[in-house]
Amino acid sequence: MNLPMNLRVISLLALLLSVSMAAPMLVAWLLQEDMRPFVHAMLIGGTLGGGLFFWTRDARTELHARDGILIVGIGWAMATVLAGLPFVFGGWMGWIDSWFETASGFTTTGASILTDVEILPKSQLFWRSEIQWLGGMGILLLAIAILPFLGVGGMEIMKAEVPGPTKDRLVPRVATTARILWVLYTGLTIANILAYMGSGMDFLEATDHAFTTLATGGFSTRNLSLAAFSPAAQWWSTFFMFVAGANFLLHYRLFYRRDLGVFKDPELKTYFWIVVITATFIGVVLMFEQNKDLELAMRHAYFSVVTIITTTGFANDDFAQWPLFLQVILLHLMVIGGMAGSTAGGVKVIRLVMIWELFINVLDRLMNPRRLTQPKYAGSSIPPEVMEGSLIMVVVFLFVMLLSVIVLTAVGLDFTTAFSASLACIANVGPGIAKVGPVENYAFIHDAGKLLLTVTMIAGRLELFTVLILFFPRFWKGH
Amino acid sequence: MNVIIIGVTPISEVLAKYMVEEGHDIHVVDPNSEAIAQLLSKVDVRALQGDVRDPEILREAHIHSADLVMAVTNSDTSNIVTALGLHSLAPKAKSAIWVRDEQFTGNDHIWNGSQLDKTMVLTPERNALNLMMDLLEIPLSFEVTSFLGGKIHIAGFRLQDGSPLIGKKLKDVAKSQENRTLIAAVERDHDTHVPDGDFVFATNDRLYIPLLAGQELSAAFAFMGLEQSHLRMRKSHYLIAGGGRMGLQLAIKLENEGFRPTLVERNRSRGQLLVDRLSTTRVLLGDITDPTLLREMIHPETTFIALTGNQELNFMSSLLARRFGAGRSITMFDHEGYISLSSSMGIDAAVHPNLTAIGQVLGLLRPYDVREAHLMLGGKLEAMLVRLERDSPLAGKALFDAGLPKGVIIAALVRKNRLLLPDGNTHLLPEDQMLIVTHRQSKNKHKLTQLIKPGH
Repeated sequence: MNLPMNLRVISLLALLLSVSMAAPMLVAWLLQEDMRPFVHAMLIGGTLGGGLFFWTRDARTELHARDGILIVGIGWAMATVLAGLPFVFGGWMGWIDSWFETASGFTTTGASILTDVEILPKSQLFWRSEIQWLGGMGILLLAIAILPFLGVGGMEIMKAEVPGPTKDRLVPRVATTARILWVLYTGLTIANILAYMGSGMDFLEATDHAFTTLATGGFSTRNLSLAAFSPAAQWWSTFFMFVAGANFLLHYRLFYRRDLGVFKDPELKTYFWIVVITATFIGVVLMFEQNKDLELAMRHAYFSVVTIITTTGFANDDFAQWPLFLQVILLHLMVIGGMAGSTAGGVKVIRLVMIWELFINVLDRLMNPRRLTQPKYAGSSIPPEVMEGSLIMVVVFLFVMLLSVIVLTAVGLDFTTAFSASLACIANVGPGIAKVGPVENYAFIHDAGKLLLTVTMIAGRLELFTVLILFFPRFWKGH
Repeated sequence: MNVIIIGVTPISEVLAKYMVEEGHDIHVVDPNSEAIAQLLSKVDVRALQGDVRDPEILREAHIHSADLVMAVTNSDTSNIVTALGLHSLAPKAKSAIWVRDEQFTGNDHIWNGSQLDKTMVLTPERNALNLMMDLLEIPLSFEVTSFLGGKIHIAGFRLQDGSPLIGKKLKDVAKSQENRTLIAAVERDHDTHVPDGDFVFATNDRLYIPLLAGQELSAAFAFMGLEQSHLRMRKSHYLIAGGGRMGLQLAIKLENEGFRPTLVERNRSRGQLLVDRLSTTRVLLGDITDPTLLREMIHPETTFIALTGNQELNFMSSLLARRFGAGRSITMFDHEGYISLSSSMGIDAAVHPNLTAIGQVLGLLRPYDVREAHLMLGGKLEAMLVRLERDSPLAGKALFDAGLPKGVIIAALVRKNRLLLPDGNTHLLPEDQMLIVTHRQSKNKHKLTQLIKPGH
């Protein structure tokens, strides 16, 4: 392992975050709010980051697989602490709460410990949204994009941070790939800001919500979440959440290459039809069960399905009031998550498609033992290591989630709450059902539970292995 | 004509034999002295032993005065390189090369603009696959050849007991029918006839019938008294034996037509590769002569296709498939001795890849403009699509006074993209393409040449 270089990348990340606190500081200055929390946090981040950066100036630049994992693991832990400082200095949260809230931000979970968000100053809320936006595409990916000296090592970092079973570069250079992804992400965010402003939001709130929509994060500046805004804003939100839950590789092919073949992508089709079928079904049930008119029922249904499957976690209706079986459907969607290479969480549609292929293969072999079979995706064989990775990921996902349920029930939560909170955190959704439903929050949970959920969120965002491996002694022992 | 064949391979033997019979002079070059000795014991050729890449050896084979050079070694790349170098060694010679890899044969455009553009590319495996697809498309046929990319087929059918034709003279049935069906040739007891009006049909006669695109098969079936229900049987199940290059390509072709074939392969790692390449085909690991496997996989609607690399295995498995109740069994082999055997033993149809290569070079050997040519009946029949030149004595004549020699028939005409079945009153026009069917050993071949292009 190349420890000095690891520290150097992490110090850069600290500097980057400090610089990005300039934005909420500007908001505070314009609105004449308290700027000191940001100034203090920036000073701390800048001093530590700068000092570390200077101290490691002689580091060799090459990085290997384990360096990538370590940088991402430690980098995310550091970022969640550093970016939480303004909340603590402003006196709005304690240390544990701020760590939870910031982790929930960077991992784009959107679970909050705030009972009333509207009492926070606008600058604090802006920072909260910006954290989610930075975390959505990946903070280290941003570092790669704007700090080109990482070179080859960047790929190792990208592998450890970007979700999905296979990591493909759009273009030969990693830094260019990262830059394209961030440009696409920013472009979509601007489009979303304009759409929100067109449907009645003011600039600041439109920006806050566009940040958390494209990141599939789910933080809102209102207690009512998106229900506080016009139906048009809710439909725009549905659209942009869906877009953010799609693979950015497809966005690249569509916007940069004008390749309409992206609409034939099998993962996109599956993702699309899961949304359309479940949302239409839920909409019809809501029309009859809750006597809503067609537009309202469909708006609630489509919005909730998309916000859950993309693991955003906005709300435009309290789905905890829906018939229980609809809530259970939503829990299933949390597991599925969005597409690989998107900002969404969950196990990703592509992994389930591949596991389904494997399942069909096994059935075929049972019917005819002579038959040779091979799971395929989009016409080509799935390499065994990708298949294994997907299966193990799903198994570990469920296992970690169940472990978390044990701990949460031990600190006093009822089963439904514990189960849905664990799932909502590991899948980076945010709201669950029962006591952590869409109009509730995580404030009442015991500190031990909050700490656990924080780790679970980060593990879920980094697709488990990157975080779990840090807990295995062999990671630290090897050469 | 002086012909140089580079490389002694099964296909070069077939080509050499055929061309010697046609009266050409052959020089063969190969590094392997044993292979040369074997060839010399079978065919009347001059053979030189040496490195086929060595220009000295090729000069010794009189390459400068050669009319046709054929590179048919086992290596595609070696053949291609030879063709590229011919330009300087034998500027006036025509050339033909043998290429097998699907990457080369399937992407014709890669030759565009290069020296290879003028080279005839012999693709026996691809030809055989196309014939296979034609056979599958025309039920009950035991042999099919196709011209102009499938616009004209000549298909062979066996007359069964109870056919209305039996015992009748050709001139009588020709008058009575509404939709005319022409008979290009008949095989009876290993003799091949190009029938005239007094020919009387008998049971088990095997008729060769030209079929034009757009023509309903049912008319020809009614004419011969064949069961019409077979025409609706196309939703067949295909069982392919052997997952070599040909088995794989046939499975791909069937998949593209929307079928879901089953393919049996013996070797596990080859099987895995097949599964990678194919999408809907079911690939089974097993021995194609295993009775339990055959019993499980074969139904009356099964068409069995034997495409393993082993001719005897193809033969045996096709017979077994028939025994286990397959509706039709088609096999592939090149061994001359088996050709007459296969139909009498109950194999429904067979293709012979190497013979198709002869059909391809036939055009290069004739003085007139042959657009396409195929051999049928194991090489006993020749079918050629010949363009009629402006100065040909045949141009402008009606068929009945064209003076076609006995044993030669014009089975179809292509006139400005229109397809016609000719009769005695049809006039031949310049630029017509005539589909000529003749007996290969016909002594009248020279006469035919004189008719089409005098002076040769």
